[in-house]
Amino acid sequence: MFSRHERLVPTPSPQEDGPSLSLPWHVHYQPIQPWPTVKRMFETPWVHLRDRQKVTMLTDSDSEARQLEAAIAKSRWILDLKNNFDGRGSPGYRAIVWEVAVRFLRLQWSEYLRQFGEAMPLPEIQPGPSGTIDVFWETPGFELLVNIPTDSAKYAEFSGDNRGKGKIEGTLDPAQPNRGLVSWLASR
Amino acid sequence: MAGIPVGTPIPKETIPDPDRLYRWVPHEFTDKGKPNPGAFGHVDEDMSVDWSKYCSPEDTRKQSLRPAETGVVQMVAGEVRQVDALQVEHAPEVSHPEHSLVLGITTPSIRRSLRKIATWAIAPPQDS
Repeated sequence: MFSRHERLVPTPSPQEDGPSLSLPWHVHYQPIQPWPTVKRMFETPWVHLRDRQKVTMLTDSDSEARQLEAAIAKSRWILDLKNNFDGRGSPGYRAIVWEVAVRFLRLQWSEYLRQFGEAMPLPEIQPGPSGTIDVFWETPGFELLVNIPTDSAKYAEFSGDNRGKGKIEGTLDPAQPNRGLVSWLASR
Repeated sequence: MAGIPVGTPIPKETIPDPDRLYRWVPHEFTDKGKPNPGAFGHVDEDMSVDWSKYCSPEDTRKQSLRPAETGVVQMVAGEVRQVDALQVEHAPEVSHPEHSLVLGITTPSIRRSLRKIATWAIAPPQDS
């Protein structure tokens, strides 16, 4: 069946595809799309620009996300530490504490990206004292230490400074994105 | 330590501010050639250190599980006392007259501060 939007071409053309009918002229057809030309006229430049920006952002953040996941994977060695690994009687590190630290980091990373459109500086995930885990940022401009406790009911303690210009410290829920902390990180 | 036979009880003394405190740091608590904040203190416990009056950094290192993979940091007692009113006390044990304690380490802020005033007396091997 042909639509009434068929383009009728009075002169047959060997390059055009179409059904072979025994008509005195050649018929060309295409799928029906409402106002395809009008849509393209008004949407294409903007959509093209927007999609290009999207692709660029996704490409950048994908690359940064891979670095985040690599940093997380690199920290798994902490879980191999056994009781008294340090000779002072420190306990080994439980997977659940490490997972809280990892979740905390992913949450802040996503929040940072959402708020500022760029990747957050990456911290190190390190063994802390007595089975706790430290998430530690150290850059030329600032330092921030978040200690994930062994008791999941407790909040994490944090402390940071931007090289003597100002300090922050307090407690936070590691299971939630923390806009204040992320804003502080972005302002360094 | 010279002049004191092992096993002789040592009376508790006051550690002067200029004296040094040593603490061995296993390689698990180092990163990029520096001690981690995790190297300083336990949760709800006091931090053991060795008083320089009775031992050398090498003596401290020998007490660790794997001396070849271990570094030793040093801190000046008076500087430690200036960190959030931490206390430094001599806590001699029969076989360890150098044993001392830093009391009051409770927060990440204090651990960061200790890390800042600590320097390597014996740096850990780079590849450990």
